[in-house]
Amino acid sequence: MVSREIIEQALEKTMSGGADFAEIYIERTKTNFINMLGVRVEKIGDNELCGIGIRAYKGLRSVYASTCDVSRAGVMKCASQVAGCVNERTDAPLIRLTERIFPDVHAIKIVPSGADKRIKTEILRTAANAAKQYSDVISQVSSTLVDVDHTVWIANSDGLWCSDRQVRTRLAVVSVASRKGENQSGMCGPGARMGLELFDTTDPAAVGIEASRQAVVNLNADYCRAGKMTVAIENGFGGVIFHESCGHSLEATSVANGASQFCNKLGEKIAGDKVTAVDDGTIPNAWGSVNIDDEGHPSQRNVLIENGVLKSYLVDRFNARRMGTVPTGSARRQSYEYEPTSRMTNTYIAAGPDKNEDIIASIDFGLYAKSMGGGSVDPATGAFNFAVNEGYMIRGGKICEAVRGASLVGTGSEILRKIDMVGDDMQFGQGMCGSSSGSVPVCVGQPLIRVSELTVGGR
Amino acid sequence: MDFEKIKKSVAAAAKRAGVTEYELYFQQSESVDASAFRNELQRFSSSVGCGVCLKCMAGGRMGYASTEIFEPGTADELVRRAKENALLIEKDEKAFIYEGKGNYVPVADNTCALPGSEAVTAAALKCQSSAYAANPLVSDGTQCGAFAAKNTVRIYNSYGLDLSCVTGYEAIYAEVLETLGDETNTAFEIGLGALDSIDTSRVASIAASRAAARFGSGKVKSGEYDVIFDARRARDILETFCSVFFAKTVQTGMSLLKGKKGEIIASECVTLIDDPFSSSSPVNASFDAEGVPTYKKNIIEDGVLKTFLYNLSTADTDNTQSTGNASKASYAANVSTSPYCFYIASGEYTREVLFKKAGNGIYITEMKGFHAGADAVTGDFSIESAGFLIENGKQGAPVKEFTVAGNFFEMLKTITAISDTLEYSAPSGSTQFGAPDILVPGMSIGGE
Repeated sequence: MVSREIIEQALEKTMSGGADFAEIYIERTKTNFINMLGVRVEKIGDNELCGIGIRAYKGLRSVYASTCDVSRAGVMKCASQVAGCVNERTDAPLIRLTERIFPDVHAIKIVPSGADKRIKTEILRTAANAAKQYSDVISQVSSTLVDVDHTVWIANSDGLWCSDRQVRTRLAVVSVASRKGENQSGMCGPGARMGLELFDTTDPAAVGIEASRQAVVNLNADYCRAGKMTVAIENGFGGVIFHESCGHSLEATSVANGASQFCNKLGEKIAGDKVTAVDDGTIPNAWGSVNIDDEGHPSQRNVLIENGVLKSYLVDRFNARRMGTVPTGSARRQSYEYEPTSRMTNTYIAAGPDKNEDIIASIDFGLYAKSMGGGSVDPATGAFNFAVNEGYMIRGGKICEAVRGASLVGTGSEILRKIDMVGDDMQFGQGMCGSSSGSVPVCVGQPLIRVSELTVGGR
Repeated sequence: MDFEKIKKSVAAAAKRAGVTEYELYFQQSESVDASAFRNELQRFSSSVGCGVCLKCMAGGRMGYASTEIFEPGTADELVRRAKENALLIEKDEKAFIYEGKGNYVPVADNTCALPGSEAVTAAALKCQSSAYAANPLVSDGTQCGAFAAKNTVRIYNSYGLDLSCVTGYEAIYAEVLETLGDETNTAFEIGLGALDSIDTSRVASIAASRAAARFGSGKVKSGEYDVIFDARRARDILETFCSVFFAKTVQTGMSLLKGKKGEIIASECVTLIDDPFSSSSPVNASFDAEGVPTYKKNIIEDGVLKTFLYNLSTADTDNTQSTGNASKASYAANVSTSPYCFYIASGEYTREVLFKKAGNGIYITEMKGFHAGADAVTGDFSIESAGFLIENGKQGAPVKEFTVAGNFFEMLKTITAISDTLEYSAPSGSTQFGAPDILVPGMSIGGE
């Protein structure tokens, strides 16, 4: 799309401002979505995005410029702008790129961007029909199939020249159950770094049914009472609690600036003995996987916490400088318009020694959070808040009535220490994670875990 | 991207494909941003993005296709994709290309260039040093910055409507981190205005004193309390639930305001306004994303629901006129709905009187995690909060780590008093939110 010759010249131009490192990121992305309201196609999005981002470092300063003008003139103008901001003139170094091919471990059988849209509408119809027919109280169903075909090329002043084509597909169904002027909703949204073959193993009808099941459970539930209690958090998307309350605080974006609850804690015990947590961008076909990160570094498996001891942060190239360490293949960005920074990929608490039934049986009074919603966190203090999409009270070691409107509130460092039982069935859930470098696909995961005490918000 | 050239080549491609009704929506956005770490510049970034979206009628439906790259053949490909997409749409709702009737109130175009890198960098560094000077507790991790943004929208359609709008604004922000012993607190403040005239030390010191006031926060006992939501938080609540006022949300059964037009849905002291020409907003608009002229309107007037926000399609469904609230989240997006300067009108009470009216309760100044803890479909929210006790009509000790829970629709009806101060958010797109401090009795607080 942009020739290697132009890229070499643009890197030389960028370095001519006195930078000690320069990088060019080029992107071309096709994004399609089809949304069905009820069982009818409501809207279709069909976009092709294209642009470049040029970055330069000078010591601990970073300059970034991006443009959608990928002509020679547009690329060189962008490079000049970056050089001008570094503004310490030197002789331009000679840059010759050496192409490098990283292995692609994510086979794609049916590339969705070119597939007949009628195949996609039928997948949606199957999901929507199943959701609608689940119960008479289901008043509305919104189903969306998104597919992204994202190709990136990365070149830098070290001579690196590499690329990755990332194809992702996701189906998300939101069901609303209504009775007497009251609405409750449920959601299910599986996705993968796969093409339409995702639906060979994921039944769209099951996705619709799951969304509606949650909505109906909530419609029949009473409000959760607020207070401190023992909480059991189910596997899969339950891992969002680790993602939000701990994962973000382990990103170099927070750590390098001293704005993390886990600064200077490497080698220290920060979590319960049974907690081992991993960020692994190499899992084949997982929603958050990448062959290379957005700085051209191969993705890797990073053990963050091992048996409760903090082992590693997630580090991008720029923050590695400030921290005096090496990058961990964790640089990510939404698009060429964003400067990359350290982000999570597929992050999970690894399977532990406990049986699910023992975890529930151990709780005399508490909350069973079967399905978690999204959450947010302040990485500096670790204060977090998550919605519980589907929750039940536990009494005398048994799961009892459903409760709605519960939220989990606390701090990351506190909850990590209070995880005292870890189940043996680890599962992933998929989501989009928003931060300073935009919105990126991530998996969260964990087995069923027990937190000995946590503030439950309700009313 | 040269919009004049694109207009010509798409018009020719549409003709070749037999497409007679279409609209081109072009958007170019430029921004510059600088931020500091310690007392040095850490990051500088600039971006130029632009894209064009074609929507066209085929088989009585509207289809969209968009691109950021315009090469030979792109025009024909855009028309082909948009037409194909139109033919797959199944909804009953009618779609329209606007003929261009009505009165377009002129809005001053912001045609000046973005400030240069030196000006943005200098403003960021000045704010950073003001933050360190504001309070001895201010620590490394504090990140102040400056940015400027400019947005150009062009709309051209097959009726010959040809509109242009340029908006822009500059801002500085202070994200202050303070530490004392084991305790860390953060606070944020933003100031809008020309970079060389914003009162930087005021922005920095507001953030610094907000963070400082949080040290030694205690806990609160769970229970029902009278709550004053700080203007900034009342604004967040309004933003979170604003979609319940969109006709589309109502028509699809996702808003509990269905069938409530003309009814009392809020306390008499509540008036909610949407103003595309607000003097407090730097993103005024004389036309919406379908090219329809905009105007100021009351959504809630003295507690009574007066109208929903409409675009052309949702207005047709309700057999009414568009309120000029069509919007696009980006050039590529399908038309949806959004407000302009959307605010709760200020009330009659000073802050002091509002606190006296509350007597004893909680003044909530921080709320986090709206996207997780609030559901616009049900109106329910349960949000992690922090603030101060209200004791004998005065602001008391800081408190934290509690949730405030309630229901937006119930809350609208139980607001008892509104302050005479109004604070606005930084704009996002052409939308800005505003609210005064509001007093709501009997909110459910989850603490110890």
